[in-house]
Amino acid sequence: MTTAQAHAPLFSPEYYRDPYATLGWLREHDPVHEFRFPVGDVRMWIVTRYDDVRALLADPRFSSESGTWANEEFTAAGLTTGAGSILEKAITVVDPPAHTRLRRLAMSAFTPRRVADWRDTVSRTVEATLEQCAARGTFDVMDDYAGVVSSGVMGEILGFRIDRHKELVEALAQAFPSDPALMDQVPAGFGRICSYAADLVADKRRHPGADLTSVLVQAREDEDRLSEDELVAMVAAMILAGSDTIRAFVGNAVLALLDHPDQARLLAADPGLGAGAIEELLRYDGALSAGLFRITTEEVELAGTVLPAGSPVIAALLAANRDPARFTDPDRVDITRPDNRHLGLGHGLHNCLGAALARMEGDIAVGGLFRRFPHLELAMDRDEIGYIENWAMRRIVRLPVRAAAGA
Amino acid sequence: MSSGSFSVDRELCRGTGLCQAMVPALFGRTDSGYPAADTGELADERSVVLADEVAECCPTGAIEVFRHDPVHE
Ligand code: HEM
Ligand code: SF4
Repeated sequence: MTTAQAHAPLFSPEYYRDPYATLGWLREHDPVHEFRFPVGDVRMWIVTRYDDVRALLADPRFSSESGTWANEEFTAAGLTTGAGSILEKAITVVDPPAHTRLRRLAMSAFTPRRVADWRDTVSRTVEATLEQCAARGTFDVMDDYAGVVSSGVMGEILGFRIDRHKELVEALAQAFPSDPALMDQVPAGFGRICSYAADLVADKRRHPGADLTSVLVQAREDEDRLSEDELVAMVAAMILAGSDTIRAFVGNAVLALLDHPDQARLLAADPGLGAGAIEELLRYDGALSAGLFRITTEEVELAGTVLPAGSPVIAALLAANRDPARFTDPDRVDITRPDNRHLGLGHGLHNCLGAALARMEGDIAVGGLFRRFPHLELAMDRDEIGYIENWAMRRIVRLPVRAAAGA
Repeated sequence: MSSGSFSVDRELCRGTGLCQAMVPALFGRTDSGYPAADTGELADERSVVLADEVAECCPTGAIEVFRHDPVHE
């Protein structure tokens, strides 16, 4: 790979500003690309074509359980998610049969009925936050809107007392920093979230309510229940998987609509287009750039490339969702796009468990913002918009907007 | 005589590929991720249990499993 390339190297600062140039080049020329991961200089592969990404996410030979299958280089670099903590056995990083058991128990709490009940919580939180933003006039979509809504909703759904919401926001900021200089704080952030989850579980055991934590405490399949550690890990996983993702998604969606004002007008005029718009926005610039690491459990050939057993592989969701072989005119936002089976919420065994909530919350938060402020405009230079430097999460750092009152 | 059957609600299904990743023998292996068929027979008790597990993991609640109760037949 020494040929001069017009695109930025993977996971460089320029890459984070515009990953699509690099990913597009790889998709065309080197769809299963070998490279060295910046943390620990670990040998890895990144997969960028839609068909290949979907196939690997559906293939049991690509394990999510890096603690069990990864080679020594990967493990020594400390890349195993949750290593040494209760998150080591979290739903996101285990294979069947452990995964099946956790997923059944968790999914039993996400009934369509319960998700419908959360609609009120989401609407109320969005309305109250829009009110605060209106009072500010100019506000940051990331910190003043999306962050407040996503952590507020998650806090309420899980049954956090309101006076602890602010702590949760701070812990999340620590676990998912915007500033690379704060990376060493990440384990402490994860630790805080685990300890909030533990407090919450203990509290709901004593005083059960109608919240998700209480439901998880009581969830059972025949004689099977979640153990204490599993419960805490599950609640922590919900906090980690279900708040900053929404925040990042809302930010990306708002920017996409500011960049495509015709589509924003279309959406604001017809809330009926909301569901399709959310699918398109999840496709166009979703919140997760990639799934968590997958590890080959044996030697596997993928699209002509041979991957040795124990190899770490990155499934590049962003790249797959812009594959011209799958989507017509993939770099355009079209909220009425038909047959939009994107991979923004993942695929296969580990596909997003909170998908119904994510779609509903995205719809209410993104649609609500443009209906409330039909003349919303960017309050910074478009070229200055920056992204956090995280290989898996695509989140804008700051997105100041002006709620131009219009008529 | 089979032990049960399942059906998939196409209106709800999102083609996540979870069902076929879990039990390809029942839900088929399609490139699209959508199950191969809308309905299927479950030959034995083991298949009923497996289908039940999948139904409980499906993110959209699209799968329904019917158990043919041998005692009352
Ligand atoms: C727009 C917001 C969201 C996006 C873009 C998103 C995206 C994803 C993706 C891509 C995966 C698969 C990861 C992989 O394959 O490694 C995933 C899994 C997961 N998501 Fe979401 N998600 C969102 C919101 C939520 C919410 C609100 C919750 C919970 C309340 C949630 C809970 C989970 C869980 C628990 C998993 C792991 C499922 C498993 O391992 O079986 N997510 N999500
Ligand atoms: S798991 Fe459910 S939503 Fe996913 S493809 Fe199967 S039936 Fe459809």
